[in-house]
Amino acid sequence: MADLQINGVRIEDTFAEAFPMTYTRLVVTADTPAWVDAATSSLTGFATSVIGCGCEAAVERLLTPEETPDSRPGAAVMIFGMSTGDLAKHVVNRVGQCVMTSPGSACYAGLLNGAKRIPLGGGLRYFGDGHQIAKKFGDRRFWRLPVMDGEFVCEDSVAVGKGIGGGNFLILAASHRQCLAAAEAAVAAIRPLPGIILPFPGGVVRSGSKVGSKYKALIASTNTRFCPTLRAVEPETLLSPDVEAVLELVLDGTDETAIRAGMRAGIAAAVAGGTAAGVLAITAGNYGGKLGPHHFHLHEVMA
Amino acid sequence: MSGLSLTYRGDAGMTVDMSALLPERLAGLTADAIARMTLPCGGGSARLGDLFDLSAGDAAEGLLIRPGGAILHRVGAGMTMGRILVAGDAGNHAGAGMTGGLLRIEGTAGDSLGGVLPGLPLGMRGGLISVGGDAGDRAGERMRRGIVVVDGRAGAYAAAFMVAGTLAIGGGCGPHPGFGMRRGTLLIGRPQEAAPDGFADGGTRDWLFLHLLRRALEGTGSWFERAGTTRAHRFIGDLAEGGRGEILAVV
Repeated sequence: MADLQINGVRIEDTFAEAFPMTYTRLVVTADTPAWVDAATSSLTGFATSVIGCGCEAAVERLLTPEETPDSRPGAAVMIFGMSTGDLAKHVVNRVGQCVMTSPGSACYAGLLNGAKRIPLGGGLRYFGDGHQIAKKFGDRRFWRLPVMDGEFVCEDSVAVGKGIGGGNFLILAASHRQCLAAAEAAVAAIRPLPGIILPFPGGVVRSGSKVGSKYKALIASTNTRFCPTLRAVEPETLLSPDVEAVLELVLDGTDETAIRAGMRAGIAAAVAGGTAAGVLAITAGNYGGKLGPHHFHLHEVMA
Repeated sequence: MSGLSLTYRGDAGMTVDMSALLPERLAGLTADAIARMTLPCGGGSARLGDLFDLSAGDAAEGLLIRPGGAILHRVGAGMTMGRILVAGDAGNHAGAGMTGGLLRIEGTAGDSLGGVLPGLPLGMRGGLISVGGDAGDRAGERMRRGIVVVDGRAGAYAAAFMVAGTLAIGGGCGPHPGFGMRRGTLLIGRPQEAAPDGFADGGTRDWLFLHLLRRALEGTGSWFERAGTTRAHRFIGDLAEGGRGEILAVV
C-alpha cells in the first residue's frame, strides 16, 4: 500500500489488533452532576486494563435529566470484561462499593436487551437485610434498598453484549509536550462518540506493554520498541532519532464500527496540527495478528 | 384506537360478563365469529351480536368497548396482553387477575378493580389499569404485581391483602386502606391526617422510585403523571402482616 501522510504526518502501514470482550452499560444518576461525577469516578476507578484490574471501565457520556429514568443528571458508564461471569463479579462489586455508597445515587441498566443478563440490584438486595422492596414497572424490575440518606434504587439486572477491547493507535512526537497535546486533542475528539470508551487515565496510556518479560512471573512488560530512552540499546526499536515521546490511546467499543469511528476521529485530531505541531507519525499496536481477531488497519481507517 | 370496537345497543341496566372478550382470544377472529360468541348476561346468556354493534377490525390492535347503558362486569379479567379501552363505565372485577396488557377505563370502575376473582388466591399479577373516574371497594385486593392508577376516589379496603404491586389512587380512599397488606405500595394523592389502622408513621421525604412510576405511566394522562411532586408521607404496614407494605400519601 502506498505511503499515507496527513498534514505531513506519516501514518504507518500497520494495524491495531483488538480482542473480543463482554461489556455492559450502566446509567448512574444523582442529585447533581457533581455527585454523578463522584459516583462514576469511583465506579470506573482502577479499571484501566483487564490485565491488572479485572475489567475496563469509563464514562461513555453524560446524560441530561431528560435521558435518565429518574429525571436527574446522570452518566452512561461502559464496563468491559473478559467473560460474562468475570464481568458480573466486577460489576456487582463496583456498584455495591462505589455507587450504592455515593450519596443520592441510583443505578439503572443502560443495556436493556441481550441474550444474557448479569445481576445489579438482584445481587445487592440482601444489603437491605429483609427491608428491600422490589418494584416492577413495565418490563423493568427495580430494587429499593433502605440506606442512611433514604433509598438506593437499583435495577435488578442489566444485559451484556459482545464488544471489542484493545483498539488503539500511538502518537509519535518530537517532544513530550507536543505528544501530550496531540493525545489530548484525540481524546477530545473521541469522547463525544457513542459506543466507545477510553479506559486509561485521561484517555491516554504512557506505559504501553508487550507480551511477556524477562521475568517469568510477568505476562506483560514495557514495550521496549516504543521507549525513546531505550532506542540506543533496543535492536528492534521502532522509533526514529527525532521521536522524543510516544503516547497511546486504547479504545474499547461495542463493535468494529464504533472502534473504527473512534480511531479515525482520534487520529484526525492528533495530526490536525501536522508536523509543525511536533507530531511525526501515527502507528498502532499489534501482536502480529496472532492473538486478536479484530484488525484495524490504519490506512483503511483513515481512507 | 384502531382495532375492534363493540358498542352496546341493548336495554339499559343489563349486566354482562365480559371476561371472555380478551384481545388474545379475539385476535384473528372474524366479526361474524365474534358476533356468534355467547356471553352471560342478565341471569341468562345472549349472543354478543345481539348485544353489541361490531365494527370491523382486529382485536389484536386493540378492543374499544362503548358500554352505553349496560353494566359490564369483568372487563379485561384475566387479560394477558393487548389493549382494552372502555369509553364509559365498567362494572365489578375489571382487570381482576390480569397478568399483562393495558386496560383503560375512561369512566368509573366497580368493586374489585384489579382484584381477585372469586375462588382464586391472587388478584392482578401484571399489566396496567388506568381509570379516569372513581373505583369501588377492594381495588387491588390480593394484587401481586402490576400498576393500577385511579384518578378519582376508591372505596373501602383499597389494597387489602395486597401481596405486591402498585395501586395509585388520586382522590383518596374509603375506610381501611391497606387492610392486611403484606407488601406493595398504595399511593394516595391526598395527605393522610393519621396513620391508618395497622400502619406506623414512616415520615415524609422525596421518593426516587416514584419518578420511575411516573415514567411508567407516561401516556396514560393519569393523575400521578401530572402530579408535580414525588414527596410523600410513608406509612408502613400492615404491621399485623409483617409491616413490609407501604401507604404513601402525597403531600
